[in-house]
Amino acid sequence: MLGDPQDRFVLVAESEIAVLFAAEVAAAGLEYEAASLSARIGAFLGGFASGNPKAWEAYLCLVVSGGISERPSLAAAVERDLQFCRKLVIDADVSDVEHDPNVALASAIAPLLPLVLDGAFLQEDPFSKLDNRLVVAGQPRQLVSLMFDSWRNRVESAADLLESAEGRFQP
Amino acid sequence: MKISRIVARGFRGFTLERSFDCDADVVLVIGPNGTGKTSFFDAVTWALFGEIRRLRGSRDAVRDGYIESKFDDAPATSVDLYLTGAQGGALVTRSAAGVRVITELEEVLESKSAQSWIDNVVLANRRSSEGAEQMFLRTTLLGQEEMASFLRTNSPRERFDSLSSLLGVDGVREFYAYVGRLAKSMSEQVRTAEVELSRVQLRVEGLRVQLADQEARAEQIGEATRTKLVATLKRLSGDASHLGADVVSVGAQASAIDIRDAAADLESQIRALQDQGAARLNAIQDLIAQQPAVTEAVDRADQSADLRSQLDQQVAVLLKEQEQTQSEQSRLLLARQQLDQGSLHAQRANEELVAFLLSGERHIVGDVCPLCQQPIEEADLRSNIRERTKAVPGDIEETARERVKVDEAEVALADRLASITESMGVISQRIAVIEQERRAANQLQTRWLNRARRVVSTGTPPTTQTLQNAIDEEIRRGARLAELQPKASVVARQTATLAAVDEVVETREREQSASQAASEAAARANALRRWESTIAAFGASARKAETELVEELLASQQPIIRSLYQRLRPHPVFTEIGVEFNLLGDNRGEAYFMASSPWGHGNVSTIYSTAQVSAVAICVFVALNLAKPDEGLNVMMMDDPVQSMDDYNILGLVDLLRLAGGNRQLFVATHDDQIGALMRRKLRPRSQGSRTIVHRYTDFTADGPTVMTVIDEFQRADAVFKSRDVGSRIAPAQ
Repeated sequence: MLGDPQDRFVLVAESEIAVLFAAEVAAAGLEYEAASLSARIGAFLGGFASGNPKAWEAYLCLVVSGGISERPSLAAAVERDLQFCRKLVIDADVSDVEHDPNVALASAIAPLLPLVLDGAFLQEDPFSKLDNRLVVAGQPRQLVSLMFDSWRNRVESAADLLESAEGRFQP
Repeated sequence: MKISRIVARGFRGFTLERSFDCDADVVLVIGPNGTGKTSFFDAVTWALFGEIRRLRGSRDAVRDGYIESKFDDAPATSVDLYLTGAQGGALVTRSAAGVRVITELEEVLESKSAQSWIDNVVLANRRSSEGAEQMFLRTTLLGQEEMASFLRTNSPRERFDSLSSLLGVDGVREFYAYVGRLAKSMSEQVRTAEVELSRVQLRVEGLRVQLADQEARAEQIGEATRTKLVATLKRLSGDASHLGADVVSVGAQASAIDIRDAAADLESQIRALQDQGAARLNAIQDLIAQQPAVTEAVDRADQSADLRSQLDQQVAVLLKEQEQTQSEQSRLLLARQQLDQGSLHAQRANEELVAFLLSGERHIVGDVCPLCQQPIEEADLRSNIRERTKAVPGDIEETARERVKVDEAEVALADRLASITESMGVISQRIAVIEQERRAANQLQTRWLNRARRVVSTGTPPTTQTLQNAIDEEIRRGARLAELQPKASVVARQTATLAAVDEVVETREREQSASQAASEAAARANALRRWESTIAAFGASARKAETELVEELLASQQPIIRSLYQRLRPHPVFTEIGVEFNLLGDNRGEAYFMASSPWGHGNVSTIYSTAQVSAVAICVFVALNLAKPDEGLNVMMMDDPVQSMDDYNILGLVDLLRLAGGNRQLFVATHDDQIGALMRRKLRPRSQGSRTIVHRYTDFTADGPTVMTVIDEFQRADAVFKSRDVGSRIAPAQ
């Protein structure tokens, strides 16, 4: 069936866990084409490889021309139809607009791509540098020291604070 | 490092022991609500930290009461956490007694050293346990509470707080909340000080008004009155001084207080003189009354003096007689000694004679006589023998008779001496009595005279007439004082009107004291106000620091959050999200999650559904987990994250977890069987040796949940296509 010359898939790909199908469709017939193509995929995977885990790991990329970006609800409806496979709608006309087509494409097929962790790592407890930050912000070092000591010693009343401030800090 | 097994007993929902095999890349916990899914994650948290942060506020009164199973007969609470990893495996056991770690090298660590090992090796942290726990909760375990907190966030302020908590900045928030409490307490101190200040100031004001009034009244006392009073006082003082008063004279320019005091002193002294006069009168009358008794005692003593003289003579006679008797006794004693010696001599001669007669001639001529120590001559010996045989018995009898006479004379003398001694004792007692009476009479007379001299002030012994004269004089003086006393009282009452002046002085002193107290209270209030503003500024600074920290941390995570968001795709139109911050005037932060699309942007909280907001929260959590360095425990835990999500969001989340999992051990709990099945399929093992374990709770009793465990091993999926020529139409594989 997929080998049929009439088949409209322009690309298929397979990994260890999933199968990807890609097809070019026009925005005008997107809903119909998406349903038709996903049904084909369902029939293909269901009939061909019963018991193969990839049978329910199919993804269909729909490269849509004809102004799909102006019809987001249509694209959403297609993507939210989870029958047979998960669908990703890609705007083929993205190069005509001001957006970077590569970025737009990467965004569209992001669910299929591995994650790149180039963010900063969280190494330290933010609280550990609060005292220095407060000093840099202009708070007197003795006051900062006094307040952190009070916090650690569970000093909860102003009277106790004043007592512990005796000889250490006076405003 | 990964978790290979969790064993819990007597812990929250797990009354009897439950052992969970976790030796897998993915561990799914599927079960209805309330059957112990969260207890599963609590067990991990408690084993690592000995604390469950989300339950702190609801901690039972009994220590660790919130940890224990609530069912009867539950075993002692404990959790075993088996860990494996390149750094070495270990068994962490936490119980009420504390924590213990047994490492792969069979090293046993207890309490602090065990916790230290957990902090360093498992949590790979260089911070306090509390900080590590915060980090763990924001990057490793996404609990329902955290999610619900984020979902409930309505205002930008609350959203900021939730973000702060997710980023671990809540420690800072807790700190400035603490500073806020101190500031509030300080404000209360300031208010108290201000109330006290107002009270003291009011008192000062009141005293000033009172002082002004008293000063006005003092001014109203006329000069004529003053002059008249001074003149009268002078006259009365002169009279009183004649009568013995020691009054202070006042001049015309004397102050009102001096005048008043002088009048009061005069009145007081007159009263004192009257009292003294009355007392003196009584004393004189007493003297007169006592005088006959004194006279009688003295007369009696005089009469006793004659008797004393007679007794002394008797004593002299007796002493002489005693002396003669004692002389006679001496003589008798000498005679007695002579008799005793003669008797002894005769006795010995007799014994010698008897011995001679009994033993025959022993002594020979020329021997020394044992009695007289003379050489014995023959003639002497013979005559002596003859004499002795005749005289010795007679001497002995004579001496005995003489001895009896001497003994009788001695007894008579002893009786006589005893009689003399007895007589002298009687006489001595009588003399002592007479002497005692005489001394008593003298003392009585002396006391009376002394008192009389004091009372009547005379150097010579007073007579009855002298005393009577003194009584008359005292009566006259009392009469004069009685005339002066009412006059002095009148003057004293009149000068009392000058008391207003005294009140002025007193009130002025009180006003000065109150003013001093007011200035001290003002200083204290000012110091407290400085503290109040200092702490307020400090709190604001801490608040600002929190905002900056949240902004910085989230900015560093924005790229990965965006990337995750693009994969989750919770919204069809808004394909990008970002966080915008707003620092308010009070340094409090506001956070807005802004969604953007080619057509515009909007606030996530206002345009997104609950499920979509939840998806954004998951993006933030996963971003934080992925940003965590691959040190120590490398897991991601999510406790029922898909509540209220639709199928599309759930599928997106599962895909996201598959991508994000990487080398992390993934723990996910869900209450939904279908979602559980979807996760099991999607998160199946993907490489040789990897496993997915599903713990399904099928029932829940007092013992805990009934757990069925299924282990999915890796299964190689058959290739779907013959080849992978991109761009060509490919026939399916056979």
